[in-house]
Amino acid sequence: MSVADIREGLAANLAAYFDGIQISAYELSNPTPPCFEIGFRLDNAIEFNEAGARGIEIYHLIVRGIVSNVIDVASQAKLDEWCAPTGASSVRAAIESDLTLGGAARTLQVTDMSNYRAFAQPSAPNVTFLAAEWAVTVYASGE
Amino acid sequence: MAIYLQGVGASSFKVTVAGVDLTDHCKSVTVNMEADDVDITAMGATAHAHALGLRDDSIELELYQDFASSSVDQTIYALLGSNSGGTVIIQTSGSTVSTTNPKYTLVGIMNPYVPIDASVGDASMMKVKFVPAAGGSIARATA
Repeated sequence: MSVADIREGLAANLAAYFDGIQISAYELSNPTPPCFEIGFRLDNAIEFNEAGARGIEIYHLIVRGIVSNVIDVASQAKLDEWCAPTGASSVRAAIESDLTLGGAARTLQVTDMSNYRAFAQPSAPNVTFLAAEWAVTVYASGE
Repeated sequence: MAIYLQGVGASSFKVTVAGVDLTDHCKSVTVNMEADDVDITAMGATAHAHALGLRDDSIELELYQDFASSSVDQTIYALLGSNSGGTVIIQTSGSTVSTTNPKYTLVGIMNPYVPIDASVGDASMMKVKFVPAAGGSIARATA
């Protein structure tokens, strides 16, 4: 099991729900919305030694969903669909559709959604995106 | 001067219960070897006098619960209500037992068993305490 396996597993779960949009297992320098990218949270991203023999390490990742922000209400409505707790457009349901990430993890859960906000890339400050972040806690073996 | 960090590194501590290796589910281990403190103070003494009485050992484990086949729940539950108990072996390292890697063995009975005690979204943990079956105590071995 590797960090790459976890990232790829999360991306695969998203891809099974969301067809035809960019899904990256890594953070993108030039996202093309609508899209998803995956990264680590800033603090305590990996908790080691949760069980003996490297049996359990806890990984804290962020799945970030980005939509364009051309029309304010429509953009928020689109992102709100992704924020639903269940359903065909639910990011949480997509991430939790395979709790083992194809064998890379023991289990996982989506703990919360946060940072629902508009932002702009420094390279293109006049183009704003709308984004939300889903915090994912993954329990996986360290071996 | 070497110090011992529990469970850190590839050769972690090793926990075996009734022949099943539960190391990769074990978050903490307490091996307690103690005897009764018997007061033998007699008249005329200016201070209390103590003597060691009967041994009263125990081993406590904190485990991530797992209902998979031959895992935590099936192993621990099988010992509930048994006065002959099961053999619990704690090694300070997963490597060969030696003078610097001692092994602690207890034929212990277990009570109570609390298989589920968690709030929604929490990792399901359980604590179990083994005390000696009749007349027994923890045996320390270096080979």
